[in-house]
Amino acid sequence: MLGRLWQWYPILELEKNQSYRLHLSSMDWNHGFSLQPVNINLQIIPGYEMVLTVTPDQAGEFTVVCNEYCGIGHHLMLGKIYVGEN
Amino acid sequence: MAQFRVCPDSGFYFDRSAESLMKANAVAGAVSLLIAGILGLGVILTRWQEVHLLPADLFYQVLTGHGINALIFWIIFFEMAILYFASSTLLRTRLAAPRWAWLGFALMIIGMVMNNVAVLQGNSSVMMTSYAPMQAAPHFYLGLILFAVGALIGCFVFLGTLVIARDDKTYEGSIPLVTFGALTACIIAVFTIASGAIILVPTFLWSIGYIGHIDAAMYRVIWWGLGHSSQQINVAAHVSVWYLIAGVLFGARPMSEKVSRFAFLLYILFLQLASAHHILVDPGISSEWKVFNTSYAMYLAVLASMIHGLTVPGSVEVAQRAKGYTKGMFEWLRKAPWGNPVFSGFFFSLIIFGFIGGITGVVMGTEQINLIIHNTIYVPAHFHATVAVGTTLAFMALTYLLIPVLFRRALFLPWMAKWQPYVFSAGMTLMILFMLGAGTLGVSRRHWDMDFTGALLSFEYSGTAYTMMGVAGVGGVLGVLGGAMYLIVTVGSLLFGKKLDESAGLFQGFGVPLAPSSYNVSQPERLPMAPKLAVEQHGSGGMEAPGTFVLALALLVCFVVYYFINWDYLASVWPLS
Ligand code: HEM
Ligand SMILES: [Cu+2]
Ligand SMILES: [Cu+2]
Repeated sequence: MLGRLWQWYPILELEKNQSYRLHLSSMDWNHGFSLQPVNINLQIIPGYEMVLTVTPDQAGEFTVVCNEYCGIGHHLMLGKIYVGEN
Repeated sequence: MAQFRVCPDSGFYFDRSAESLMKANAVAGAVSLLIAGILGLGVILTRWQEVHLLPADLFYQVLTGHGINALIFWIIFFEMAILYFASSTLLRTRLAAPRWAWLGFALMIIGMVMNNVAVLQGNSSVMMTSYAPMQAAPHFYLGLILFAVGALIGCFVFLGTLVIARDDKTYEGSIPLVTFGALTACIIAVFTIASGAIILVPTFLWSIGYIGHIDAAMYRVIWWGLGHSSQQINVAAHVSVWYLIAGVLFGARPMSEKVSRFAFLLYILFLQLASAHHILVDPGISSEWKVFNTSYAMYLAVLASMIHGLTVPGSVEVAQRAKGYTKGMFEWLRKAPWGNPVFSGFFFSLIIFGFIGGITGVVMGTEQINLIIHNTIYVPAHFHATVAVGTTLAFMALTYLLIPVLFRRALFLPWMAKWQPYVFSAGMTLMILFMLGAGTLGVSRRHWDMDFTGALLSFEYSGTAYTMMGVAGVGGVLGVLGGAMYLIVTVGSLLFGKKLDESAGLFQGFGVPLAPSSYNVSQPERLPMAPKLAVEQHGSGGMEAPGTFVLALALLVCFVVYYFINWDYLASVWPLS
């Protein structure tokens, strides 16, 4: 998933209890990956890729809020992760 | 030529040029605090979602100015005054190179104005962290650089003054504890400013197009080398102020000088490393490094603060008990001068720093827990407990002590001064606690709109999060009121306070010396070595201060409970590695 001014791309659809390798990076400035409402917060830095393994254990709609100040559109920067029941 | 005056009320000796420098720096600090406070009101009234005062661009601009003026300008100007006081006044010596000190002051003023102008012009709303590759106007960085160079000069003047005092043998034995604490602050400051230069100078060159690229992760690592150690300057400085106030008000002496000095040294040796917790969730940094830094370094750092946090109230308790306040656990505390803002300010600073700042600090430093609060409003809540209350309130208390002594004016509106620490502490504590709560619910920091109006996608925080931000808003407004009371009292004292020295006129409040006849001491008496304390001789310690012991246990219990609540909460997060 990529952060750029001011959106997260793409919208992800995952399945519950499956493990995924999530690649996170930024195309321009620092952004903050803040997954709500589970509250996982990670720093996204341009030029670096963060890879982590996640296993969603709840189904539903989750939102990625940008929580590193990234300019005037910072508060518009939302992304979605949908987790379906398998 | 006689260049010292002795304060008839306190017995402190003031070197003429050091005195002027202290005044000028303290006033410049108060001006910065005024700016920071007005901007802080704008910030909190916007974060209070029901009020949502400012538009987005103005909010980020105001927040940038608030952070820089409060954390950098107010605190460092005031610290310069403390450095001159702790060297020249406490050691009864002339100041080394006053001209250099004035040059440093001038650079700091120019830097401060330049940086504020840059922020005001609106193209530099980059927050005080100014993370590259987000770019501010060149004079934003240049202002900070000049300010830092000025402060560095001040540090060297302080060190030079210590050397003069030693060569002139103005004191017996080793330097007093307060001066020792100021020395640790100064050493950390020199280190910090060096790393500041390493990162700000290239960033400045990059902003004017000399350098093509700044690595974003590198910037964060170095920035936090500076950003977090600069906070140890503040801790070392306000701990020194605690010792000073405890000594002046109660004649209190630390239970063991050696232990207290050792604790100051721990700041230098280990706190540097705790800076790592800012980059715990960053990519590209090895896990071992994070673990080393956060576990060992963090705990030693906390240990140092714990030692001070116990010794200071402990020494007050011992002194009070010696005066006969021995009933029960807490008579010493009940009978303390609660109506004196020097005491109440000092004590609230200690308690709020220790309980809220200390506990949240350790929690944040844990890599796993950091995951759930990184960049949420929890983070500013934490450092408002440490720096906006711990440091700021300690400095405010010191101001009340210094207005008669240094400025030779009686306090203006003493009733307002009396209530000020209560209003400020109550407001800030309310704001801090509810921002901690909102942060745990995921509300992010530096965020204009928790409604996300106008975003393509939508998201709603829980109602509780809104309520919490609202209560925080009320607290913040109260805190601003407390800050305003401080400024009314201090500025009012300089303008209208009763003169304790005939020549303490208007300009004398801003750095002009008193009438020449006031300076009638050419060489102060040598500072005698403090007699050894009974506690130190018998090596007993411990149960001399049972009340403090109980307070410490209470802190420990709060800490353990809170720590486990957080781990429990963490368990509800998706598994990830
Ligand atoms: C007097 C009342 C004060 C109020 C109401 C207040 C309010 C706030 C709030 C709500 C924020 C967080 C905004 C956000 O992240 O969205 C903030 C940030 C900050 N405050 Fe304060 N504050 C006050 C005093 C102080 C003082 C005395 C200091 C320092 C000595 C201080 C230093 C800071 C800093 C460094 C930031 C971070 C700025 C950034 O994120 O770049 N504040 N303040
Ligand atoms: Cu962003
Ligand atoms: Cu953002």
